Order: sequence, then structure tokens, then C-alpha cells
Amino acid sequence: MQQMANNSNSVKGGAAKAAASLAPNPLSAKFSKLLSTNSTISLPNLRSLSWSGVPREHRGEVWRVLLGYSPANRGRRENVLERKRGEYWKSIEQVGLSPYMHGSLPSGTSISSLDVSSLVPPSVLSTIESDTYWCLTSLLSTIQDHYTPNQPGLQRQIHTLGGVVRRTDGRLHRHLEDMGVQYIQFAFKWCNCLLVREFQPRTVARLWDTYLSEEGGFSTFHVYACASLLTNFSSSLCSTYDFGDLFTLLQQGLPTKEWDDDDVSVMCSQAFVLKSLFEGSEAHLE
Amino acid sequence: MSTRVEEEYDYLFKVVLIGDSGVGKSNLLSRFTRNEFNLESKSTIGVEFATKSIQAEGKTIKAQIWDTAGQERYRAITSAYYRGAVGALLVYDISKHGTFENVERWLKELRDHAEANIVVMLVGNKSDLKNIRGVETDEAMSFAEQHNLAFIETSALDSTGVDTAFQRILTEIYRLMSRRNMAAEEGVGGVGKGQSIELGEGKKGGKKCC
Repeated sequence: MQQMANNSNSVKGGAAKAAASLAPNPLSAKFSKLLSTNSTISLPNLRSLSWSGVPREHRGEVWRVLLGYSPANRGRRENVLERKRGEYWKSIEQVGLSPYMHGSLPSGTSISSLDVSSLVPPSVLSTIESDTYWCLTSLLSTIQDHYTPNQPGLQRQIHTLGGVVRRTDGRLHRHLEDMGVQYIQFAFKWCNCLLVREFQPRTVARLWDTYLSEEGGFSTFHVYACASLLTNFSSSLCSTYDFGDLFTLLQQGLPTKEWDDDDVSVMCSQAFVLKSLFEGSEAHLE
Repeated sequence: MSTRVEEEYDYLFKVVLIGDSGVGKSNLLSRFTRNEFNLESKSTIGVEFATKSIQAEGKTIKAQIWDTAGQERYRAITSAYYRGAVGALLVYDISKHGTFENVERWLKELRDHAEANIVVMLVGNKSDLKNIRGVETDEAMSFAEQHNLAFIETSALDSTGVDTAFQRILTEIYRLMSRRNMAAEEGVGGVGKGQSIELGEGKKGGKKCC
């Protein structure tokens, strides 16, 4: 299988193509190989491979590992996961909640009126729920002060965003200033919801592949992703001269819902360049 | 989007929507400005915004309506949005008495952050939920009288009262402003609370060219 994946770039002709489409794609095969090791998954390798996007079929496992929830060491993995899943259900019992998606869904959403357990076996459901809990816990621990009183982490991110845009796209920065639009008015949502509201769910997943592979993905890289996103629309923003139109464009008019994985990849590459330029040299942003 | 012809208007008024989370502020806004309603709308994060022009007493009034998040944790962020607001729709949910009890807290927030002479209208939304009503109309009405607020019940879902609510508050703001301007022209001293004459004054004859 691996051999086929390695050769697939050099094979030519219709028959070979047909054969390749039946086999797992080369990228997916690379992930399979990395994840199926009998010893310890190489985290640097996993990060560098995942940075450009994780195939859907591997995402669940890769995210668990990248978030430090599932141990990279195969020998420890099963025990640790079993213990953590048990801990989750024990604490649910202690708090006195009934199983499945505790309070995580607003009332009236379609899934809560659906008996999920009739579609998925309860054991699978309970694993998904506890794993989701631990993964989210791990993610949030990297941006804790986003969600503490007055949300200092978030305010800091928005401040940095303003600095980056001022340095990299002065015309846009001045235009926003001239029009009386403040970064907090639109970037608050971007930072509070980690761009979940801007993209389709599958595209958010692609973006977060990079966040999870990048050092400080949610806490620092995200700012540069936002800067890249904003400056990408510089020309249409700069040619909008009515405050209301500009505000609406920023709030809900950017065509990001139509973006696909490739668009996000470009955005992430630009963000990486910006981060390399500015990170650690905050004085340039003041 | 940026190329469309600027609409003409006589006045531009900023109005904020406030009230507890889940009372229907965003749907009131979308019903009024776009005639849309979404039963599964997501909670507002930070602030959102829409505009719509109406006619009142022969004038075109452009309403700039700001929709703010109702959750406590976003309040530090949203307080800045009261700046320059000349009207507020203070919304509660007629089926949830708790949201009505919190109206006093929202009034206090207005006192702390908004202009002193802001026009406030109390809005009992979700009037379609009559069968599970938790706030009687009389109770709300007497509260409104006591606090000198306008009052209306609306349903963003079936549209009842929505246009009327916005029309009334905008007309009220316009009248108040005209009276102040007139008083100022007549040279009456101590107009209003002293700082309100320019408040809400729009760009007459449409947007000026720069």
C-alpha cells in the first residue's frame, strides 16, 4: 500500500489512474503509516504533515494526539484513554447530569430533538462525548484568558491584529480608521469564535488542522490568520465608503462561506509569513 | 455593494437593541430590516448591525440599528456601543418572567452608559407564545408608565408589532429632536439637558460628497 502511494506520482496512464483511485490516496497513506507505528508517533512529523491539512478519515485520531489527549506512545494509549473516559463519566454522575451532550446544545436545535442513540450505538456515543470533552478542555487551556472576565486574551489578540494590519496594509488600516470602524467591532467574533462563524464546518476543520499543528496555534497564529483573512479583502473593503456598507461587509458580507480547503491553505501560508515577521518583535506592532 | 447609489435621508438615528440573551433581539432586527426570521438563529457575538430607512412626518429617517449580545460575559465589550445612541429597544420575552425582571438591570446599564435623553421603548417580544405567557400585558404596561417608557408587544415570528415598534420609536426621536431644535432656534436657554441639540442630527439631503 505504501509502495503504491510512493509511486503514484510517477505512474501515468488511464489504467494506473483507475487503480490509484481504488487505493487510499497518498496523503492518507502517509498518515496511516505515521499513526500505525508500534512505538511512539513522532509528534514533529505528525505536526509537519498535519499542518497542510489532515484527511477526514484520520482527523479524529490526529486531533486527539495533537491535543495531547491521546498519548503518542502506543503502549500507554489504551490505558490512558480508558481512564480518562471513565473519569469523565464519573464526574458526570457526581454532578448529577444525564448522559449525552450535556447542555452543550441550545434548545431547539435539530439534534436535541433527535434520538441520537437510535442512530449510533451508545458505547460509540459515550466515547465520542468524553473524547470531545477532553479535547475541548485541552484546546481551551491554551486560550484560557479568552473567556475570563473582560476577556483579556481576546482584547490582546484584537490589539495585535490592529498592529499587524497597520504594518502590512497601511491603506486598509487607515481606511478602517477614517470610516470609524474599530477592529473590535468585527474581530471580536473572529477571535471569540475562532473563525467558526466565518467558514463552513468542514473548512473550519481544515483551518484548525493547521492551528493544532502550529506552536501557539489558537493563541498566536490565529491573529495572523485573521490579518491574512482581512487583508485578503483589502481592495473591496477600501472601495467601500459608506460606514454601514463597510460594517455589513465585515460582519457578514465576506464570501468566506464559499471558501474551500485550498483558500484556507493560502490563508495559512500568508499567516505563517506574517507570524515569522512579527512574532517575538512586538515593538514593531506598537 | 460599494457602488450602489447612496440613498437620500434627512436624519440618521442610532438605535440599540438590548435585553437578555434569547429574547429575540436579532430576529426583531432581521424581521424589521430584511423581513426575515430564523427559528434557529445563533446567539449574537459582540455586535451586529443593520440599517433601514422609514418615513416619519414627511422626513426620511435612516435607522442604524445595533444588535448587541445579551450575555453577561460580553457586556464589557458592548458598553462602547451605546455611544451616540438616541434610542433603545429594551426587549424581554413575554413567556419568560425572568427576562422581564432583568429589565431594571438593563435600565441601569442605559443610565450608566447611554446619553441621558435616550428614548427607551420597552418591548415584550414573542407575543405569539400566548399560551405560555409569563408576563401579563398590564404588568408590563404599568412598569413602563412608572419608568416613563414607551411600551409595545411584538412577535418577530409572525411580524406583529415589529414595524410599529420601530416606526414609533423613530418618530418619537424625531419629534423630540425637532422640539429641541425649535427651542434652540427660539433662543430658549437651558435646552433639554444641555448637550442634546446635535444629538442624532443626520446629514441633510443625503450623504454629502467628500
